[in-house]
Amino acid sequence: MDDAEASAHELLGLAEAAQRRTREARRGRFWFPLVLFGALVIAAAPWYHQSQSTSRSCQVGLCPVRIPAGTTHGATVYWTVAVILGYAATLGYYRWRATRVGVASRVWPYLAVGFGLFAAVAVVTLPGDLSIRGMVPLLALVPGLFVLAWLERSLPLATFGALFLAVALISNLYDVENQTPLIGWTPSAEWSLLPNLWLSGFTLLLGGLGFALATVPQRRRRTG
Amino acid sequence: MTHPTQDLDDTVHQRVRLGILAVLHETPRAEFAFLREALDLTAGNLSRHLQVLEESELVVIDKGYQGRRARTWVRITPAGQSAFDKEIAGLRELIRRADQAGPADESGT
Repeated sequence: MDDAEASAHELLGLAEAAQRRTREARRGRFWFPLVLFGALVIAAAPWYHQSQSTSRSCQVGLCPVRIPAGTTHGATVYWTVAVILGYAATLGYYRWRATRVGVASRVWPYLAVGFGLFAAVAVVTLPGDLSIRGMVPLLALVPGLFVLAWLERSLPLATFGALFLAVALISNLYDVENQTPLIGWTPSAEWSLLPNLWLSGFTLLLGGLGFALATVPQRRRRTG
Repeated sequence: MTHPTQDLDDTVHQRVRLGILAVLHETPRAEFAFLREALDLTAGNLSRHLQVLEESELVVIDKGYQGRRARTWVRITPAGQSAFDKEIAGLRELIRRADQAGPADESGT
């Protein structure tokens, strides 16, 4: 090995080590939006209460399709406020972590895709039924997860995004209440959409908590 | 065909400055203290190299305050990204050529 080659090896190794260290320092932030949006989805429950008189509708070619009756505009308002607050809080958290660790993360593409898709969903489904079972906002969260996985170069998050896509589709297309008796829960007719909503909400929440717990040892190693 | 060493830029082909660009290649911006720690440098040494990179318009330095604490953030410019990518490609090509030439040299001796 001549001097030039040895020097090239050394410089390349040094650059790769610096890149690896930087990636490690900015990794492990995405648990926050997962937990936050999980909580926001779970907290949407009051807007999915259905009154019996108008609880069935035959829309978008899928019959019977139930939509949250009487409170549909409320659900749209809730989602609009929740999504704005959710993405604003995510931006705030990423900025706070950047200041604390000294390394920023790219998060704007995630915010743009997530918010842009929700805005499109809100406009398309106006005046406010949010389409199939009122759960389309859950699907609008999915592409954002894949963008975040790409930004973070995280295969586990991409895998979780695929899982959440399946769960969000189930929440939109299947009556989850058919299965809840298996865990000893039979919701009343007024709350029959709750299992659909909470299936996705708890998937996000628990996934986020799992990622948060998984990053604790990494953070301890860096600070220790 | 030009030798890969001819493509190497003297500003970037230096271990500290390449390390700085490698860090900044992975993040929209990094703080001075992180760079110092990640590259195991003294503040003065890091400042000198940052100044060289800033004069070559490969990085931008933003100085400000977070509360009462002074903070210096550094980000890479498009020219810096391009120079870093070129340097890494040059180094890889140098190694590839050396690896190819190695067995021939050995058989000839």
